[in-house]
Amino acid sequence: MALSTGKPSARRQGFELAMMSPALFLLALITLVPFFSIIWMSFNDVSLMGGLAFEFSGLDNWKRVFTDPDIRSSWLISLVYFLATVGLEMVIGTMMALLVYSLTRGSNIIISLLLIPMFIAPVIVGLLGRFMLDPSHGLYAWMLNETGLFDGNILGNVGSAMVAVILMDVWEWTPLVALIVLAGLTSVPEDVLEAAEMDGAKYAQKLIYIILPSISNILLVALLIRAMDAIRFFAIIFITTNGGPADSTKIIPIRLYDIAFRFFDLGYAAAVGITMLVFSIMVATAFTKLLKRQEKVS
Amino acid sequence: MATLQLNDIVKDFGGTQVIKGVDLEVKDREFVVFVGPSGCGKSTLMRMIAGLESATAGDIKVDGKRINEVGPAERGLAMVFQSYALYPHMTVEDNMGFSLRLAKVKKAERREKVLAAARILQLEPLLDRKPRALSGGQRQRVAIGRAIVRNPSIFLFDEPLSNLDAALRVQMRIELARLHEELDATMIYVTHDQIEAMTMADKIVVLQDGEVEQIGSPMELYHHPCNRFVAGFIGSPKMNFLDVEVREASGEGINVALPGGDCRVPVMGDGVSAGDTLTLGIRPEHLELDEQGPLEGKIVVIERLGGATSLYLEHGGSEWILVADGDVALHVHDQVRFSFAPTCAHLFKGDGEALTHLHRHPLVDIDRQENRAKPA
Repeated sequence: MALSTGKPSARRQGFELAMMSPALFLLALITLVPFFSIIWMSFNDVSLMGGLAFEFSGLDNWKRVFTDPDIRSSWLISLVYFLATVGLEMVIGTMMALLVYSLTRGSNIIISLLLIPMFIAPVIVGLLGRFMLDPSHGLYAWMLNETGLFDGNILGNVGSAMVAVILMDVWEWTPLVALIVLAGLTSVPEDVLEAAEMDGAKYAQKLIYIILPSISNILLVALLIRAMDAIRFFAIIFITTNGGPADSTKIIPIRLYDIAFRFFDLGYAAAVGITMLVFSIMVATAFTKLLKRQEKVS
Repeated sequence: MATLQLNDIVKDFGGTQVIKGVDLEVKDREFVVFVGPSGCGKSTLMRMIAGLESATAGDIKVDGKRINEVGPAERGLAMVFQSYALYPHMTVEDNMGFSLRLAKVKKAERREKVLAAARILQLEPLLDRKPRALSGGQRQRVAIGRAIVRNPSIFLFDEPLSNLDAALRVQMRIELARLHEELDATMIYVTHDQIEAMTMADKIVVLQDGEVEQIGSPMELYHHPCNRFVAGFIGSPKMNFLDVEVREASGEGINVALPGGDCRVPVMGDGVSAGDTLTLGIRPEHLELDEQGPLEGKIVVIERLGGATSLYLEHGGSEWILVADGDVALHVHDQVRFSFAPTCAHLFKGDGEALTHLHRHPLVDIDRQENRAKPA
């Protein structure tokens, strides 16, 4: 019966469209209109002074996006921040998961304790970090000072500020990676590991040849989740250094915030925002391709 | 080429003894089968031999050397797992050559050994495949191939056929027997399937609740079970049992009272006197339809297998099974009389222990090695 399962007739499709139109209209209102207006904004000089005013400026904003040295350095800082945080989180998280997995008892309590950082809002993590690293009364600042490892304002120095914000993110999100990897580890069959043991594999060899290949899919998922988050890193840096000192931690979202809400250069901000959107779509596409290939392999 | 000895092996799992002092001697090139119901400890025993589980007490010796403290890889044994336990992301060739790779054997030599094993198991066309692309039987063969490549002194098989369908199981059973002949290696095999045990073993070890019930050749276990458990476990369909009263015990056997007259079973009657109650055990295939037979029963169910027919009889309040010809013309609710040859009957004491037969069955000492063709 064509009516129930096959292709709906044109008339019927019209009816369906009519029924869906209120929802579609609402959806368009809250997504499509802003989306197209932001594209239009990127071709205009937008000013807020004396009422909202658009002044068509052609490709000016886009030219700036690709030539502005500040934008380029922000992308670079973003890349460094992304590689360092996600890299450390993946490595430490996997190691944590392996350790917890090898526990014979008490693993439930350990897991609960491990997860605590994840439940703290990034803003609070930033505030805590700022408090701990404060040069006059911060605990970590004092410890580093007393041991002679570092003296001075940690968040006020170009290199150390970057290290500090990276470590704060790692502290917060490593448990998430550990949790995901832990779930993957339970799916590695026990007898395959025993077979490897009979074949003469030591722990490191079991890890390299059996465990890691078996959980590569899960690792990829963890990486995807963290990578998606990484594109919108904001709160910790915003609270602690706000991009400073000397723009050394000004990752691209912070730069965008500055352009839009400190300099109110909304047209330019729209262009920067769109490049970020395109970039995240590219990253997501790459990951889904990788995941699909993984599925084919395993 | 190796012998294996177990001396008083005990395994304790947090206070519960799952293996309660097992002694066993496995000769060189012998095919030994551990058989028993689920939870009898047969797999645990094998895992202890493999080194995947430690023994709480007792000695495990290979070629006379104690190996309790030796790691599983260094024991020189290879194990085939029930679930095959193939490495999922490696090809068949890599699966089979993994142990050699870990032992840093050169690639050319590794390939040669893998190919040799693949030839024995007809796996050559599959070497580049991943386990996922193989059928159950092929996976099983790869798992066996992985064991062969290691050239182990003893092969361990942990219920290797239980994940296969019935037809494939029979085929693999024959293949394993052939393999044993070809490799001429010592093999230990765990199963809960008594048919696998009977057909493949040189020596069967029957286990129950962590204890050895009997060790012997398949024919010995079939004809001379040492207790009621072994008698019931070995043989299919199961042995029939009936409580009987002793009329007289003498040097020529024990006379027991049956509904249709006395019967003398030729067993040693030490310690048995008139008036005692014993359990009579007769295998279904040893019962015969007989108009003048001393036993009588009503048919409850008929199972026709073509070559033979299983008759389920109601007899003295219990259900008996009688294996008759394939073409008996009987119906449910028919009343039939049947008999048995007294030499095929078994008598068990109240504690389950069997009374020893006066005559040993002539085939009892034949093992599978002697069943094989003599070298020309």
